[in-house]
Amino acid sequence: MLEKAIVMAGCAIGAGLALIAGVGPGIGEGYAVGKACEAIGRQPESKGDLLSTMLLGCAIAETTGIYGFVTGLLLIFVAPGIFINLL
Amino acid sequence: MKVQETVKKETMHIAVGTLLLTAVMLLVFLVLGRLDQPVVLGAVLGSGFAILNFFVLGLSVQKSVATGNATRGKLMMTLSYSLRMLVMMGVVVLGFALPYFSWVTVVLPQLFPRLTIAGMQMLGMYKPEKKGEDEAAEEGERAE
Repeated sequence: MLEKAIVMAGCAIGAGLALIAGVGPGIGEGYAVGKACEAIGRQPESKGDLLSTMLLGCAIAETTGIYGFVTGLLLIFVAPGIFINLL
Repeated sequence: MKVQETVKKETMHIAVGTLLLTAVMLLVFLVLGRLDQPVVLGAVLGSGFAILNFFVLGLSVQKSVATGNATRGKLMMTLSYSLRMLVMMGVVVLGFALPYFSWVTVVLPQLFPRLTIAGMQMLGMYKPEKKGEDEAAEEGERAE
């Protein structure tokens, strides 16, 4: 019983730590868009190129958050069953 | 709000790449003899949401840039990211919780847009500018 509780607690703590990874991309995307606004203010003719590059850049940045998010969900839904079966 | 041509074009690229990779994923399931209804339904949900997520990201970027205000754009983008992640959490939890979907095929397509962009980079469709080149150009302008 105690072993199961420890496994569950470990998975829950791990999931919480993994989800911290989701904070960074949000801040990064916001910062990038802020800088893009400033750049377009200086050079309005570069709007098209800038939008395209930033769109793909934001998608790449977001993947890091998705990795952490998926890891967290796997720790909540899948890992406890596997670890408890190993006991 | 009118959707800009750039957003439509990039969403189309990502959609094609995601659908191709989803087809490859289903092919692997078929080869392994695991292709059943939950796998197909999960793939439809996962890939559909991945494409929709990218399109909404494009709309958010377009809207944030259109504000012209750095602080407001920053806040809008952060809010959009949080909301999109929240909806993604709902979709993926559905994939885990409901027996109608296979969670593997719901989760994997969320990573396909990144793989598509990597593929585009390899094919030369999208080349991020090198920092060195930018700095050299700036230095050249200063010298002139």
